[in-house]
Amino acid sequence: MEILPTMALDERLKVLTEGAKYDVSCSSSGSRRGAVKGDTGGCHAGGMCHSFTADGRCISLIKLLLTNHCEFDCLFCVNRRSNDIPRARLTPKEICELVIGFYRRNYIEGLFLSSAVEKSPDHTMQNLIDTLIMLRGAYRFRGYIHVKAIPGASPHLIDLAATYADRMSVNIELPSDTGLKLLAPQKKKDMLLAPMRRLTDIVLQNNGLPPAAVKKLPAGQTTQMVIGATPDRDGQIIRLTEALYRKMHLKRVYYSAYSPVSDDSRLPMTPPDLKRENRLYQADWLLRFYGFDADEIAGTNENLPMDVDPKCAWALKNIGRFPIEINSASYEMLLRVPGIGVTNAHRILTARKHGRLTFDSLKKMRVALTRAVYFITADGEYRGLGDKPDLIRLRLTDKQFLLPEGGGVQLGFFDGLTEAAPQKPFLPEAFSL
Amino acid sequence: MKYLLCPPGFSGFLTAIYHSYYGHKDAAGFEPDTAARNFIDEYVPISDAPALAHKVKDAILEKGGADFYRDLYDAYRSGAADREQTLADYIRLFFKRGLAVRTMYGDAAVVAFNDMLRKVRHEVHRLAGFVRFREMQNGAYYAYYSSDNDIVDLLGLEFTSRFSTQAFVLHDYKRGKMCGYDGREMRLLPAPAKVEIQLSERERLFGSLWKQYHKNISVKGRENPRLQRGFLPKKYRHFMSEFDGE
Repeated sequence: MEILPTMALDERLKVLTEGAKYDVSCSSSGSRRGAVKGDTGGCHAGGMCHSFTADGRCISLIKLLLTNHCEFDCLFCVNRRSNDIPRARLTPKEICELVIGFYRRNYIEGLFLSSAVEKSPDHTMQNLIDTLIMLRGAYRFRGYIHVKAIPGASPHLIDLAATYADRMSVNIELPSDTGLKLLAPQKKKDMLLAPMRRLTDIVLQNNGLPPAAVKKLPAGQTTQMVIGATPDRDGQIIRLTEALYRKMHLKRVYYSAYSPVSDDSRLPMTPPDLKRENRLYQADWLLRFYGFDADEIAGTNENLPMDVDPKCAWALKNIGRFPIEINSASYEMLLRVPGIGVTNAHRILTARKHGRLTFDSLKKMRVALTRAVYFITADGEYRGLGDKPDLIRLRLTDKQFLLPEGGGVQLGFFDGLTEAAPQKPFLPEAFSL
Repeated sequence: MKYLLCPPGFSGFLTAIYHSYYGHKDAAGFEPDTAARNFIDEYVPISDAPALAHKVKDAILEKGGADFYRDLYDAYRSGAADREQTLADYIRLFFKRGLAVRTMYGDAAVVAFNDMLRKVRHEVHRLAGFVRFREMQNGAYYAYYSSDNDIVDLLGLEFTSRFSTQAFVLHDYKRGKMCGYDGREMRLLPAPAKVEIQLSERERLFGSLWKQYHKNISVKGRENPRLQRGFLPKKYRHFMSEFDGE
């Protein structure tokens, strides 16, 4: 069903929001662009949230598809060609009017523009660029712009888009080549990796430049993958993530727990596994801010534990390295203590210059002692349970795994047995980058 | 016990600080002049003396620099009942220990001050995102809001840089304060008792598009109102157009 351009703007906006909302990335951080008299908008380095939706996610950018007419038929995607949904498109001018109108009312921080692949990748990429040129040029918009690089688009078009955008992204879609072959047969691994590499090259050219001299992609590159549509293990996902950060220099990797948008038998019909998504993000944080390597977080064919977060899991496995004395431990080791984050690790380093820190001082500094207490001594004092990882694990277990009611998951006696059986008939292999 | 009653305004507060070092050294604490009193304690009303306040300001600037002074100035926006006392304790410690106070995270006075300052700045950042402007018939934009802390001018500065040429009025309706910007300069104004707004014709269209967008962008099957409330407390929703009627 085609919704013609002559149809009401609100109808088309609805259709094209529907198509864009499974893109998780909504951050408006990473660019610092001061206001200029006569222009509209600027960027905060830390980004800004303007609202939060019923699913608890932030609205920072208006997320739109230029069109949801798609040549591709990726099974996990709501816009796949074979899906019987209303189709629509917005003109560049309509998008500019929406962005400026929303921005002036302080609804948003900027634009997240994507598109289904209509006609050809180059045709689609050119349409995206035309919109950005109009928004930055005629509408003099200096706010945040995140635009998708279309897989298969020519390198020169990707370069051109990068001159107008703060951030670009190509979705790697699925964590393994096998998954891609099964669920997105028209998308080849190289078709996704080529534009990502191009973006990496652009981002690397910014290295060493003063912020004001950075003209292309000041907020870098991101990607996202669907979790739970294929049987890929967390260990593989975390290794892929590590490679994306360390070899491709991405700013963020987003995970999206698969929500059933198709009744194809190749896809699971279960509701999105939000806890798993949450654990993967925790692991992602460990890679980026806590100095962890993928090997320390999970073995290649392992999944992350669900009952405790990955940092607790590491600490319990390495209980022999604890407790550490808070007044003498290194920054790297402080960061490994469950309950101590980056902010508090820095605070501890500074505060201990003024005198010995005790449990009382840690409490004042808002260290999460309920977790940290098993892994530290403060001025010689120890309040933990000793070398008893099983006991500590119970204390650190998320409440939902202990309470039989209240929407939580109850762990049955036989759960360990069923989990060991393979969930799907084939074994995936991770991307090599 | 002797308490110094601070008049409203940062200058009045600094005057009280001055008196606590000269003349009322025996003062046990600071209270806003609106505070409830009992008949056992002694209360000394302080009147704003800009010349004395300036001496304190200069002393702070000399010892702590402009950024430190800015911290104090921003923290003074706090809506906390004990803000005078919290600030005074911190300033006293600062005159003893210098800028080291900034990182003395184990000290109760420092913790209390840092909490207060963080709350003010956090609210400025949050509201810079949450405040909703409506276009009026004359082309200017109007927004009303209410906040825990007195931050109308700090918010105003955020929006002058964001909108640059867009005239707007920002209205803290609980405190009766306004901040206006005509596209060139920003001014603080007293709010009239009653505000009547003529909305522009297209305002209704954008308002409903936004409401629709806010609803549609949420993914079904992932609803999590508790998470939503943590990021966006209900106390702010009454002035946010997407929550109309909540």
